[in-house]
Amino acid sequence: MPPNSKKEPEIPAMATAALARFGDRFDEAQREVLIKTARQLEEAAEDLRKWELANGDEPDSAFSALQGQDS
Amino acid sequence: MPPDPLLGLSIGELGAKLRSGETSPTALARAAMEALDSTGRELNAVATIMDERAMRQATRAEAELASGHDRGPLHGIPWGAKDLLAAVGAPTTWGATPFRDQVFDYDATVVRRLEQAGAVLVAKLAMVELAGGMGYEELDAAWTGPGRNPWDRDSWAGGSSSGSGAAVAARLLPFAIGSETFGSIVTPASYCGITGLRPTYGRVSRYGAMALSWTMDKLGPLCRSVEDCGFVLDAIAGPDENDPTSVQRTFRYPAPEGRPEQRKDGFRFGVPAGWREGTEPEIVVNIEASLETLRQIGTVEEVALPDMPSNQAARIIIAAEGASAFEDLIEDGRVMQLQAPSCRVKPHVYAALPAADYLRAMRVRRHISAAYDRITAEYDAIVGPTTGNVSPLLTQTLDRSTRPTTSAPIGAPGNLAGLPAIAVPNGFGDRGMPTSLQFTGRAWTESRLLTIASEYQARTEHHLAAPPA
Repeated sequence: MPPNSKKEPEIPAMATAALARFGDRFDEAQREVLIKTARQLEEAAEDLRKWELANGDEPDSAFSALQGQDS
Repeated sequence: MPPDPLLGLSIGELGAKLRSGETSPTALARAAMEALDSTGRELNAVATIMDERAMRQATRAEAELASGHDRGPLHGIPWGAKDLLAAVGAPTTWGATPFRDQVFDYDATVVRRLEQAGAVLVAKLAMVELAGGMGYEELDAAWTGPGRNPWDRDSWAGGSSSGSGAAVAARLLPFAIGSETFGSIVTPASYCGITGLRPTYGRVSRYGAMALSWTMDKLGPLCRSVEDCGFVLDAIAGPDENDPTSVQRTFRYPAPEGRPEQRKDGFRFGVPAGWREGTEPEIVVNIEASLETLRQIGTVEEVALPDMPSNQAARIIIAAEGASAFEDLIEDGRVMQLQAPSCRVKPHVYAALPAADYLRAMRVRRHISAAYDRITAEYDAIVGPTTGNVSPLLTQTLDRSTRPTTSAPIGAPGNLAGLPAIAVPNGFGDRGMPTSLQFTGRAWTESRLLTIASEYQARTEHHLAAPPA
């Protein structure tokens, strides 16, 4: 076993995506904030995934076709 | 120079003095602008004072009142707009450095309606940058500096309607308009010891207001009494073709049909089980005293709120919609000009939120809304502390994982479901800072909430307390 096999905590996918796009904007401290924020959002998303939804459960957003005249 | 004591009067009292000639719209507007320019700036409550527009509106109101043309209770009353409302005659900065020079050539619907009601817009008021949607942790997250609390200038005025809360509490203005996506009206109302009304989602047009979260943003009044909130909501509510989310419903205050129906034993109040948990002890004492007062007009019973992931859903929805609303700011890097260090970083993660997570949050939200509709249908109001803590010191931060502020247990679901709420002062807590009682109702029950909260204020004097000059 190599001497430095200690596993690094995984970087959340959201943080990886954000760093890939904007990584050059951050110093080390900001990078940590970014990873912490991504972890918190992933936890929130994970909690939501525990809530059982049926196939027909639609998002609570109001979409309607634009008003017009029947013709 | 201390503010003119006239500015500490209610809208009704000021209206009487305006009509008797004891004061005038121009005198009130000048007094308000002087107070904002001195005390208001010390509190970091002011973005822009609008001398020219204010004096033009005040002069017109004066002439109209003198000629007998009376537009109603707000005629000649000075007011301030949270600096996310477009108004001709001043920049609209959204509290954020990248938008310091932003100017709109039209008025937000709320601004236009208040002008039609004869109110005199004297200032744009400071706010947390981008209404707090970028996840601020620092309490100085605004280009105007930290919002200082009139009760203790080393404490926070609350956010994100900081200037609106501080200016009304300090008796610099009779009323102001704030906005709430998640707590931004009721929190400054609580921390500053004033009355704040969050209307039902869709009750008030958001046209011309900065968008943070299209499905959660609301506009509403911050005042010193329930009655004043009623007068202001009457002026600003109603459908607007420029805002497709505004509903075809009318709101009148006082309600033309009179007092809402109630049971023989009065109003029915529900208090969330476990509300004491995480609530500061002084606030527990004050809420218990408030519940005793409410027993004079009805019954109080404990209600078990469902265990649903409301905070999580609200967090993801606001993050995703906020990242979309400010996509250009994030993409072009201007987000790095924001005041709060946390706000320079977090939006980059929000922009990477998977669509599936946002949609799941919106699907769960439908269940939450349905559950809270069933609960609020059973009661005239759900009552409890507006915030579980008094205003924090400005030296503190709002780390969301160990945050020193706690909102009411119904805060997240109430905002997700678009429910109306009114926060009223109910005493003082730690460090002598104000505490607050919140009434949350079923959608579209603002009239009922106003009646109930009026009854509470008729039996108490907490809303009359003024901070030190």
